Amino acid sequence: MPISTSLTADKVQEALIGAVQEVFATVLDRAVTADSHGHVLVWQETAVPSVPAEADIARIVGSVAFSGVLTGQLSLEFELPFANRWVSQIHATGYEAEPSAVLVNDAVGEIAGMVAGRVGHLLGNGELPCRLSLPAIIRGNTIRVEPVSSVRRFFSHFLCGESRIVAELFIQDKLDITP
Amino acid sequence: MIEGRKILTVDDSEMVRMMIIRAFMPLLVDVIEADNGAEGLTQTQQERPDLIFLDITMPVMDGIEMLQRLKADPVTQKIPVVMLTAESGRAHMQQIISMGACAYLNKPFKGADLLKLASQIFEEQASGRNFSTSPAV
Repeated sequence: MPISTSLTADKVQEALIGAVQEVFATVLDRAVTADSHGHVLVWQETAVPSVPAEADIARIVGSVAFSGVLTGQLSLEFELPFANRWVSQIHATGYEAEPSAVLVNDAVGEIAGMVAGRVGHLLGNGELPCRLSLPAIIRGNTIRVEPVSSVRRFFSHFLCGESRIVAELFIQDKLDITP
Repeated sequence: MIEGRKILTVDDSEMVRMMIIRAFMPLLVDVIEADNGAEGLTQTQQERPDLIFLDITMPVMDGIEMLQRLKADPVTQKIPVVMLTAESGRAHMQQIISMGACAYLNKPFKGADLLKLASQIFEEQASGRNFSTSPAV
């Protein structure tokens, strides 16, 4: 059965949530919970703010394009202080020493790639191809990642402790995804 | 079986290289690093590692090209190579195995997964066999 006839919006959303939780549990040994504000499917073509407005907190976004089972892009957004903490944890630099921007960019990009790969793996049952691009990093305080008109957008908000993570999935709108 | 071995990790992500170093650190394994395939080939020639963990998507030279070059060189072709990738797809993984990688491991992975796989590879080597895995999904 072609993947395009077997995908449902619920399955895409479930894969996105599962991928984020699995990557965080495996790499960072941290549990993340889908926040009640975010794990509802957003099925829209107009742009909305991706994160509740807390403009005073610096943010970092890792973005990876994928093709194969689906074509699109995965963006993973962190509050920068939180990203600094878990990158310090991985590199064992200690919480007092802030990791370099290079280290943080690398880690955020790699984690975004892992999540994108897991989404593809889950949606294709490991059988169908999912190729990934090199990651891109965006930093800023009021970031909005917006879809173009031919894209379907899914997002989930997560909480890791008190830190918010936003995962957004933009999928090329040529598939017969059942709402 | 693992103690005293030399392992090369080739990955453009410093985070992934650090995860591999930390996984093998308690076993007194000498882990050497390279951040792209070209540097990985140089390190392989100079250091002659017992095992290589090789990322696929990298700048300068990707893991597929490095694997091809390793397997084309009589000096390095017997070094077991485990491909690490966040990508998926049965055909892609079968292609990687057919090119001479002895296994692949999907990212994300746990340190325990690396240790288990390395142990299996070295055990097979010690018994005179070549470790090889079929693509698992």
